[in-house]
Amino acid sequence: MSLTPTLRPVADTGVLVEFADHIDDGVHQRVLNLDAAIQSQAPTGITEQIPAYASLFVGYDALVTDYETMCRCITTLLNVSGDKQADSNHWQIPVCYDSAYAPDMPELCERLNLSTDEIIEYHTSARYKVYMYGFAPGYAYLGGVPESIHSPRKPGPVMDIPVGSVMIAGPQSLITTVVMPSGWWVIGRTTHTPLQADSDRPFLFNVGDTLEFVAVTASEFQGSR
Amino acid sequence: MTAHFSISQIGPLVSIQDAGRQGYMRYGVTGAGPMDRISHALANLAVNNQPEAAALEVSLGGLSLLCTEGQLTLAVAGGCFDIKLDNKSIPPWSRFTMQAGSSLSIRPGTWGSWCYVAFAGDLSSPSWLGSQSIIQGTTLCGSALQQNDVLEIKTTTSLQPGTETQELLDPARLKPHDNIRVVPGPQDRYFTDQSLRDLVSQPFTITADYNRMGIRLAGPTLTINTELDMPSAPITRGSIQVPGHGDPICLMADHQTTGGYPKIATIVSADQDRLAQFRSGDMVNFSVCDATEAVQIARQQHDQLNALTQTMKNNQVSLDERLWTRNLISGVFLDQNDA
Repeated sequence: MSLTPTLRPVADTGVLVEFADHIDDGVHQRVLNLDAAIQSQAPTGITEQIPAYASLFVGYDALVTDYETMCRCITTLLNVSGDKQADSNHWQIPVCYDSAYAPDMPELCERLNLSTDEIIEYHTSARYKVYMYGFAPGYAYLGGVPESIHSPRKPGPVMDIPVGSVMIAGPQSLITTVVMPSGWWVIGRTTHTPLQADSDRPFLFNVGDTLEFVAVTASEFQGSR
Repeated sequence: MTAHFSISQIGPLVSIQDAGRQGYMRYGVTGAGPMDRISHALANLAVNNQPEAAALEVSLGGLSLLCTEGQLTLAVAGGCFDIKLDNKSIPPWSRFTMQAGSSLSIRPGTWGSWCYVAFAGDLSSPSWLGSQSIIQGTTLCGSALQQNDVLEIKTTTSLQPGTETQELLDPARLKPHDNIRVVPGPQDRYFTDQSLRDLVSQPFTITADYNRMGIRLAGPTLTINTELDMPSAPITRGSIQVPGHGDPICLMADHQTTGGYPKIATIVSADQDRLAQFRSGDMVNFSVCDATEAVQIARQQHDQLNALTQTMKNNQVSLDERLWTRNLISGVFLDQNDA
């Protein structure tokens, strides 16, 4: 292993394993590998595992285990998990980019000096990776937006963005799962949100999964609703 | 038997809370659950429920209920609220039986921000991912309670006959003390040495910027020593996060699961519940412990709660046993350093 992560205590509730202070795909892969190793080993007393860009939170129950035990266990798993690639799935997400579902497309075209078709082409040509969840249930942060359509988020949030909105901001894309305010650019709509409230698998993506967006017509989108 | 209650008045942030969710933070789902887990558990135990059962969490906005059908025992616990049963004041931590026509009113009293109402029975409400705790701002686990909503309690029991009110304990002995213990980090390296010293040597004031997500404090400005460019990282309950304005925010039950601001320290579990009962204007002082001590504090608190649980389960109306309970409960809330 070229990187030696740092283990830091989080009160009596967990260990934060920090791999780096920057965002890097190799760093994220190490987060995923340790996350998978802990899941497969299932050490006693684990309550939560939160993978993020460059760190993994491992929550524990202080009545069952303690900080020193968890650190020993994590250190052992780091040594065996370094080079193993965690399993991941690839998803195809149908998106309707029709103007009815893409309220921010006109302004984005103007800012980027691109046509709607060009933005759609860029958005559908990329392969995205699920880096982490956050903000609200099922909000999966997807990295991989092509640089030609990078745009910083709006100065302020817009209220009541509908469920299934496909948004971009900077290098990231996101599919909304609940009605929330957001300052990201809404460029389409999908029925395949990461949150399937009534299903056996409530969260479609695992962190580390990859996906691509596929353009569908308004009638195909209506039919899938 | 089934009982119904109509909500005749309800303040903001009043909600149904059980012990919350575990294991879904990796999908962006926070733990939720009670702001003061100890008072919530004790209210449930007082009516022979499991400590993690769903109960009502009442904010400073208050709550009034009218029983429209059925008969059952209830308990109120948490802080020192002003409780009225059929328009007559009763002790802030009490157990009593209500029937159709009885009314209960809960208003802020001399101290405390959260009060719990537990019902002897099963409080019906939607469940999601194994919990009845609402997901704030969404309808994933039901909607926020509103005036005129009807609460249904199934499989009710009456644990005591007649109209006697049983005091569970004297809240004066539970008033939280202002020493809040923290473990430094996990991102303390982003802060200046002066800020790290200020955190544990200067008092901080609870501000009105206070909800179930977090509590903003005012005090010495905490300064980040570098250009802030931290990748978004996991957040937990008890994290003391410091955004650009330099005021610490203590993240509570409905915190987000990841975020990009550094956390200077994390409050030990046992003191998160005490912190929640402070009000705007109250002062707190932070003191440092390490992870090993933090685990010991959690275990001590659990042992004391276990003893209390057993006592409450055995608790009948006899005065002797009630006094014994009172002594045990006070032990839970005395600070270890003072005991």
